[in-house]
This record gives sequence, structure tokens and C-alpha cells, in this order.
Amino acid sequence: MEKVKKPKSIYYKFLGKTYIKSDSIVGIAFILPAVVLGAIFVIAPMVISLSYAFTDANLLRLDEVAWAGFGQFKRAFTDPYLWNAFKNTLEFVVKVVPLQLLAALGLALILNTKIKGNTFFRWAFFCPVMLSLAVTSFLWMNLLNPQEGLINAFLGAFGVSPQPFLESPKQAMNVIVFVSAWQGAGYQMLIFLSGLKNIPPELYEAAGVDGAGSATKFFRITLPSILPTFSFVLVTMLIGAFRLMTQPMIMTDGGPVDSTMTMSFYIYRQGIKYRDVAYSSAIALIYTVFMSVIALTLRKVTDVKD
Amino acid sequence: MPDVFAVDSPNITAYAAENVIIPIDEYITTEEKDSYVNSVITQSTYKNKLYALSGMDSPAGLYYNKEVLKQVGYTDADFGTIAAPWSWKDVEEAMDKIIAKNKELKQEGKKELPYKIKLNIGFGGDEGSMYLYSPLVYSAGGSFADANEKVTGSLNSEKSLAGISMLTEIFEQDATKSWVYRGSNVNAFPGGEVAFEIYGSWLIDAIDKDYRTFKDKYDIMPFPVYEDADGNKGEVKSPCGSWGFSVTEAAKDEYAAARVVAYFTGAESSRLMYESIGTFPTHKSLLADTDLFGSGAAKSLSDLLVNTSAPRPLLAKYPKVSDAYKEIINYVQTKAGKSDYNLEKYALEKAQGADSGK
Repeated sequence: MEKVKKPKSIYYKFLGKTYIKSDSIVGIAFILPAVVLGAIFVIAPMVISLSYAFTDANLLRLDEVAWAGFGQFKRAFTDPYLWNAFKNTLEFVVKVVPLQLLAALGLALILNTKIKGNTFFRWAFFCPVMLSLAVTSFLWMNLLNPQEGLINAFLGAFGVSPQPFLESPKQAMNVIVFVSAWQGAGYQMLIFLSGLKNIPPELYEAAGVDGAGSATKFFRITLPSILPTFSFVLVTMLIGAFRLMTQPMIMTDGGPVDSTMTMSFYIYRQGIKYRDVAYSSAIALIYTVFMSVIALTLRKVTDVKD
Repeated sequence: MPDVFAVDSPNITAYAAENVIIPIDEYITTEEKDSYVNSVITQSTYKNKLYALSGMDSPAGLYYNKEVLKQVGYTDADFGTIAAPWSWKDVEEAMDKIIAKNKELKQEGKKELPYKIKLNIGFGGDEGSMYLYSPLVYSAGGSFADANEKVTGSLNSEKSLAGISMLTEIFEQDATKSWVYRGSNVNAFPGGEVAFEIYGSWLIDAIDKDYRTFKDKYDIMPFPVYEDADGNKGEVKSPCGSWGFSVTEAAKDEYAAARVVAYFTGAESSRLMYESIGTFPTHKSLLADTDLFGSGAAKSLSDLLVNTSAPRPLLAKYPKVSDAYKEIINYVQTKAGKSDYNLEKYALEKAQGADSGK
């Protein structure tokens, strides 16, 4: 008697759920490159960095590492320059986020109207985003040159005395805030614009019939409609702001008088320039925990709003 | 790791201390070693062993516009030399004289003379302050760290601060006299925008190539020395140092690798680099060649390299000390003359910062 072959099942069960095998294979094939790259360039460096934080690792001798316990963490909490960098980073975040958010929203609102040259303005506002941070930093350094810069020449035409800008401990961070907002607002503007485009025009028409003015329409229709977009932009902007490094690195080298030294730049400097990988890793770990708390809190707040 | 790598002179000590590079004494003959200028040997020696050699150097000094200074009464005999250097106060006095002359010229409707000084404090990013301005400290008899590499007590010592404060006066008076050039023209000196410039040897090459008519109108004197309230002047110390080559611990054939270093930095290579990119040669025989360094600014600078070069501090934690010093110079630049200016306190904080950690 011929044996009946049992057909192979195209299904399989995993953690109580049923999946189609071929779909899973395709899915795994798609995510595999990302998983491998992520493991090599994100997970592995994080694990290695985490382990270095408890050692005395020096960049020049990573093959001779000794256990140092929590010594690097103790040092971090008593390092006045670290706290200065943290304070500067907070100052940057507090200043740049509202400025950039309002600039992006304002630009999006302007472009959402039927103004002449809309396409040109959209390109113009987005243009800084396409340039690298290094390029725009050098561009602004020339514009802000106290002696020959175009901005002081312009201010001079109105009788304003030449400003030191990046050479002043009081002005340097504000300049970096402005340049960062100028550079980044175009990207968030596009996100806001897509949110604005999704608002049904009938809502405005109905509100108009009911006698609502521009302000009422904005606060009662526009803002609530783009709230999810607003939350997304806010969270990504905050995280990006906490990671500030390129602009102070190129424009001021953390000065003058440490006024623009930020956390990311400080971590980089300790690890790469001073070769103190252990201390750099310890600070990075502390900062990662801090950032995670911020990101999770924001996510929670955002979820409630959604 | 490769067998041979390029290393910047102030990093040699750190690499040697961490055994990343190995001593090459036994592979280099005494005759070869003696052919290099002292600064190369000094900056490449750690615990009495030679770890690197360099075929190029970058001595620096005070470029000055002879023609302009002669118009305000100076003669060739007045300009600073190794034996009778100018101090920072002499430079200030010269700038004041030119400013006074400009008032007369202005009244007569004539073209004013350049009087400013280009300090190049931010030159080269992180390293510029230590490279160009370490002589401030050395000239006043100060130091950057003690024998145990402790920075506190040295960098903020009375002598070191006295040296650094030479710049304080420049920046204090800059607010009213506008002495310091703050523009971005790299050729401001040969271009006639400034009367003085603190800079390295590359400018000679630029002037030779692009400002030939200016060639006889300038010279280089030693980096201005320290001068105390009684008029006593400090010693001439000249900035120097450049990239060289070392043999790494990974080298399979140490002898062959060391010979590569000797070839890369030998007299022939050194001369080729000088002729191609304008870096100063590091061999006494080349610097004594009158065809190359017999007259003018090139001779002045070669004399400074041979007789007064002062390598940057040889410390395993050099990057931290260099940063601390850069920030102190930066502090002087931005805060001098302000009511809250306190160099002593700031230098102490920075010295302690450099001592923190390993």
C-alpha cells in the first residue's frame, strides 16, 4: 500500500500566533540588512562603550584595559566642566526648540496660503537643510566675522557698533541657536506643511460661515488638527537639539571661555582628543540614560495627546 | 597597525609613553642623529630614547614690515635680533608710533600706513595657541607642567602668568587702539593690511610666489619676549615643531622600518619638502646652505630655528594641556579689560582641569 505523503504546512506557530512561512522568510530577508548593520554599527559599539565605562581604557592601548569599577562615574559627578557642558546643552535646547518650532510652523503657514512664488519659497526655505552643517557653519563664520563680516557691515549702516558674535562668551551660544534654527527649520516646515495639507478645507469654510476669524480658525481648527504632527516634530527636534556638536565644534571649538561646549562635544573630546575612552564612555552612558528618560517621558506625553 | 606612521611632534611623548611607538636609536647612526637640528631631537626623545625623526619644521617669529617701520623712524639696527630682541612692549610702542604718523598723513591727505598686528591665535584650530604662543610662557621663565606632569602650580605659576599677561595688555588696549587684526585675509601682511604678523615659515613661501615686490620690504624678528616692569627682558624662544615619522610596535622588521624613517626625513627628503611645500628643512647642513638660507627672512627664521627653537611641552597628557592653554589664551583674548577678568583664577581652574583624570 502506497504511503500518503502528508502535505507540508505553510503555517507555523510562534509565541501563540500563527504565521505564513513564506511571508516570514521574505520579511526576515528585508529586515536582515538593517539588523546586521544595526548590530555592527549601533548595538556592538554601545555594548563596547558600556563595558569601557567601568575600566581605565585609553584610546592608544585598548588591548590593555583594567577594571576600574564606578570610578569614572564618580569623576563625572564631580567634574565642573561636564556640568558646564550640560548647562550649555540645556540652554541650547531651551532656546532653539521654541525658536525653530515657531519658525517652522510660521513658514509652513505662509506656504500653505496661495502666495505668489510658493514653489520658490518652499525651495528657498528648504535649501539650508540640503547643505551640510560644516558648510553652513563656515558660511556663517564668514558672515559673522567681527571685522569684515557682512552682518556687522549691515548693522553699521544703521549705526550699530560692530558685534563680536562668536568671539563673545555672551553672544556665541545665541548665534549658534540662531544658525541651528535657520538650518533646521526648513525640514520641520515640510512636515508641518504636509500636516496642514491634510486638514479638510470644509472645516475652515464651515467655521467661516459661523463667523470665526483667522485667530479662532488657527486655534480651534489648525492647531488641534496638526497636534500629532506637532508632537512628532517636538520630540525629534528635542532629541536632535540634545545632540548638538557640529556647530560649536566648527564655529567656536567650545569657546569662548567654554560658553558653547556641549555634552556631545565634551564626550567626543574626552574620548578622541584626550584618548580617555573610559571616562568618555561613562559620560556617554550617563547622558544616554538621561536622554532615554527624556524621550520616554515625551513619548508618554505625546501618547496621551494622541 | 602599519610599520611606520606619521606623528605630530607634540604627540610623540604620549605615543612613546603608551608603547605605541618604539625607540629607534640603535638603527640610526650618531652621524645621522647629529645632522638634525636640536629641536627635532628634543621633541622626539622620551626617557633618553629617540622615538621619531622629522624632515620638516615650522619655526615661527614676528614678521614685520621694514618699509613701514622705517617711515616712523626705525633703522635696521633697531629691529629685534636674538641678542637684542623686541618685547611685546616694543611692538606696542611701534604700533603707537605708526598710529601717530597716520594722524599726520591723514591731515596731509596721504595714504595711511598699516599698523595692526595679525596674531593668528585661532590658527590651525586646536593646536594654534600652543604652537604659536608657548613662547609667552617660556620667555618669562614659566613652564606648563612639572617633572611629574602636574600642571597645577606650573601653568598658573607667577612666571607663566606674567608671560601670558603680555597678551593682556595688547587686548586691553585693543578696545581703544584697534591694534589687533580680526579680518580673514590670510595674506593681510604681504597685502599691506597689517604691519606685523606672528606666523610660521609658510608665509615666506607665499610671499616668494605671490608677492615678489614685497620680498625686500619685510623681515622676521624673534617672537616678542617677556618684559617686566623694570624693563628686564626674557629669553628668546621660538615656536617650532612639525610632523615626523615613527616606527610602531607592530613593525615586524624594526631595522627596515627605522631606515624608512631615516630616508623619509633625511637631508634629501627634507630639501625636497622645502622646495615643494615650503616647510623648513631640519638638517643643519641645509640650513647652513647660503643659497637657500643666506639672506632675508629665510635666514632670519633659520637662525631662530637653529638657536632659539623651543618645542612644545613633552607630556603624555599633552592634548589636555594644549587645550587648557588654548582656553587660557582665548580667555585673555575675550575677557581682557572686562571688569570680571581674573587670569589667575581662570588659569588655576584650567590647570586643575588638565590634572583631572589620568
